[in-house]
Amino acid sequence: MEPAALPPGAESTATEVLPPAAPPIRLAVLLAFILICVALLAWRLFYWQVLQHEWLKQQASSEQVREQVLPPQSGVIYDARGHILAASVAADFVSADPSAVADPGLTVERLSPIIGVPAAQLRAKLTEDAGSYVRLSGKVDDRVRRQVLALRLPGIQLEPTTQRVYPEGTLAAHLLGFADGEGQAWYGLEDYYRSTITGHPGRIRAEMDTAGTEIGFGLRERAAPLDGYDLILTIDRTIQHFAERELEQALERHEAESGTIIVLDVTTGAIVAMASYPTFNPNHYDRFQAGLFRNPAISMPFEPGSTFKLVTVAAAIDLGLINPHTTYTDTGAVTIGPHTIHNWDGRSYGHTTVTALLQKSLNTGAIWVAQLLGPQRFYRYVTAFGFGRRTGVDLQGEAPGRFRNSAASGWTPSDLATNSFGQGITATPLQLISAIAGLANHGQRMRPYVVQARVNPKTEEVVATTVPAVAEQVVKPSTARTMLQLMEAVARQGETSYALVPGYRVGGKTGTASIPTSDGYDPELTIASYVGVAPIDVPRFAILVKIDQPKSVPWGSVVAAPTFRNIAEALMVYYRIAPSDPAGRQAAQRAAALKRQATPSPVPSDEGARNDG
Amino acid sequence: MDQDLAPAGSTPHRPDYVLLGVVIAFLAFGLVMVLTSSMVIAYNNFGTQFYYLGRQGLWAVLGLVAMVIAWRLDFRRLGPLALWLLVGCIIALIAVLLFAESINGAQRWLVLGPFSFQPSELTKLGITLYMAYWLATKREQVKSLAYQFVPFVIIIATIVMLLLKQPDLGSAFVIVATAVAIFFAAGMHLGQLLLFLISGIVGLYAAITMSSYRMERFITFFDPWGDPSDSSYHISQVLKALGAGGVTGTGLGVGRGKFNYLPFPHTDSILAVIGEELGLIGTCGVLLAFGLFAYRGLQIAWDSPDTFSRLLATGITCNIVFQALVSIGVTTSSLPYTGLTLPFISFGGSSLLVTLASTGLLLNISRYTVSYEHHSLARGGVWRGQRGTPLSGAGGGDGPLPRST
Repeated sequence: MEPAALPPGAESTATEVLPPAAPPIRLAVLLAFILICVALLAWRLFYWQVLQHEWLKQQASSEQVREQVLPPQSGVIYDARGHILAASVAADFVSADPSAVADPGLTVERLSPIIGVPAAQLRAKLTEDAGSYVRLSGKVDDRVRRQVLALRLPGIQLEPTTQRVYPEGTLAAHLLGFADGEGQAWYGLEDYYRSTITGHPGRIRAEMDTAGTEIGFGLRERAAPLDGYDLILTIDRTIQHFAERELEQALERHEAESGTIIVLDVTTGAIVAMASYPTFNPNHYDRFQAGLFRNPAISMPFEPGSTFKLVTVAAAIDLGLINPHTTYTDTGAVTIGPHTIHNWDGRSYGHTTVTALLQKSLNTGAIWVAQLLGPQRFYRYVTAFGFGRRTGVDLQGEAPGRFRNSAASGWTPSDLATNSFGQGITATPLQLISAIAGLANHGQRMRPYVVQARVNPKTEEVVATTVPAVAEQVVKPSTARTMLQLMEAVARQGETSYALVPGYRVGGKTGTASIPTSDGYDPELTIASYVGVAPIDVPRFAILVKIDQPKSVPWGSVVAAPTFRNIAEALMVYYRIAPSDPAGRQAAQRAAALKRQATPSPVPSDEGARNDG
Repeated sequence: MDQDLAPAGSTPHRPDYVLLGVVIAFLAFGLVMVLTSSMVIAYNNFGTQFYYLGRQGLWAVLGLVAMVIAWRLDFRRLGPLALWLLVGCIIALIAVLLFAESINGAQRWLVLGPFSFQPSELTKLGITLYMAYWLATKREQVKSLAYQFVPFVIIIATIVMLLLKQPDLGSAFVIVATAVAIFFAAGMHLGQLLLFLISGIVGLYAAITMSSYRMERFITFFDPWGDPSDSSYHISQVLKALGAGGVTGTGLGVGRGKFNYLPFPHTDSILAVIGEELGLIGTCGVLLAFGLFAYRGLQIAWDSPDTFSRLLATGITCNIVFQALVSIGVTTSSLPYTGLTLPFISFGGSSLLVTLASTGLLLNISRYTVSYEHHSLARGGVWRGQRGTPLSGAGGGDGPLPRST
């Protein structure tokens, strides 16, 4: 097939010219083959780059354009004087890439004591988990973080996050609520103001490399995170602390299990202190029963008992039906339908003034007043005082309390009778003291609140200030004045001289409420309470003290009134309120000093007042 | 140039400047593309975007020096040395398997001081030289099964086995294709060619089925979007980058694929970067330039004064062009995925050095070409002496070149 195009002497040597022996046509075939390949590949390029362009471009960008969430910084909660009650600090999760852990045994042995996770649990996580990521611990603080870093264990990582901390521990725990390990807010202010405090996450939508680093020249859309606002509370750390300690001491003295104290600024509705016991530590919320997290001051309605007589009397005075000197005949018992209701001491007092009715806390007198009012007017006033509906306080989980209106089905005249002295009606402690505070503020009931201002932490600009709001003009100012005089008279002359603060005019009313059970009222268990106002001249604070189920004595006068007095005195001193009787106060202080010298162990209440003075 | 070693009746004339121009253009374009495709990976690994550019620039200078030497020396003297070069290459390939560390799952590099070298690249030139010389000196036996085909198969099979061990299927494929092209150009019996192609297909089938990763790539070839395996990820990323470029590309330097999406953006996947940043214009430009390279290279072979020159020119041209075609074929998912660099353009010192040295030899041959009247490669026709010095024995009087059956 190859004709001899070869020259003679075809054995090649370098010096000879060798004419090409191979058939050049094969070179043409080779070139043709190459050019066909070029053409085919040109078609393939055209196919991917033109025909499949849109689809591939979309595929590529769906992989390269990624979104990253930018977490916002949470706000700080301050008390009225700038002390930090809650803040977020940097923390880390300890996690692992099990496939990168070189020596699981050594890793477990070293890591377990530092992060406080049992070795067996840690080993299980490192060996059983198939994925490339497993979280080993909850949030750890900076000290642990440094120790973990120092170990230089391969495959062990730290994930930065934030941790909510409550530097004052249990202080105002019910008010604050808490944020859990995932940053989820529960109860109290944390929950109520959750979006205000946590802010809004931002996001970056950008072209990124495989590791999530942005490509400099790529597409980039950024929405900055809105950091949470700081909250400035009306709560004063000092008063809060004092109230909490007073409450604990009162509970201890009277072998009671639980109780509540509220201090309300009557002119604004600002809550100065709100303490409940038993409480919890929001830093270690997981060590407490969930039932403890509810704030009893707003979430647990109770039957207020005799303190409610102030509401009944105020309504009748406001309508001009009675005045402090109006008399009625007390027979010691009232029969309404099948029920007979007695006074708390079972006695009858004969001709009795309204003032005496309150001083002696006569149930039959309250029934007489309520019957003067009639159900419609009575319940109108009860509603105006804020019972049966939420106060609107800025705290999570407020309960409305309940009573049966005369228009409601099932209402009987005996309901009016029992309601008149605070039975058969429930109210939260905050509802009750808010109603009394209305009497102390010219008849204007203010909406209670805890947050006085929201501040942008970056600009330090006050974003929102709470303007005190009148919830309702409950009674006429003159009625309110009369009620204050009555409350002072009750505090001064009645059963409750325990409540008096030397040198200051205070007023108040005890309550010894029965605790309803499934079959009537428990004969043994009571709730001893005291609601009061200080000072009477220019009312500033309304204070509620509620002690549940005291075992020493059942009476509010003995159990709750002294605690009221201690707190009222502390408030007067702390806020530098001038005594109305300076001479009387000095004399009392001298007497107290002598008493302290005589008895080496001072009365706890006196000590508290001295510390805060 | 030793006159007595030059072909009788011919003094060196100008080399093929068109070919030289194509090579210089490739080289300059390659440096730009190495910079843009490697800047991210270079910055991540070495803290400077210019790390790979600097290395490639150094190799380009060395390669140009080698090219000039190769184009000035008497390439005919290389013929007798070809056997020793090939033996050296085979020893180096064995050394790689024995001593080299595995990089990216392959043992390809011999480390010599600061430089690492891929024996497989030199082997491409070695086998070309050896086969050209061997077939030119034994040309009367070209069709003999015992003297030609069997030794040919043994040599090729040895090299292929060594390369598959690395593993470097791409290089093995290119070497086999180049050897077949040289054999074909030397007048190989078409029956032998058929026999060889059949055994090649059987061998390829064995190579694929005996290795799980090759099998995976082979399956991936038919369904690149199907599974999330490595090879599928690679080819899908390559296609996304290529396709995202469209006709005009995203612009030089601003491709996204090189941000750790593309596998080996500056070596195996450089065409994808070209496609993404410069679009169809860029990729087709590269493809057509290799077509031009093939045309000029085979024209040199056509016009070669003797068989050794012709076969050497054919082998060098086919080696470079085949590698380019396979590389582009892989990038366009027209061939199963295998790592193969784009000659002149991809980052890779050994490859660039050997490719430029080979091109130097091709330019060297182009200085001794004679033109045969009426029978240029493009037109077909009769031999024609361009400068009036027709070769003895291949004289114009013989008329049209006899065709092979």
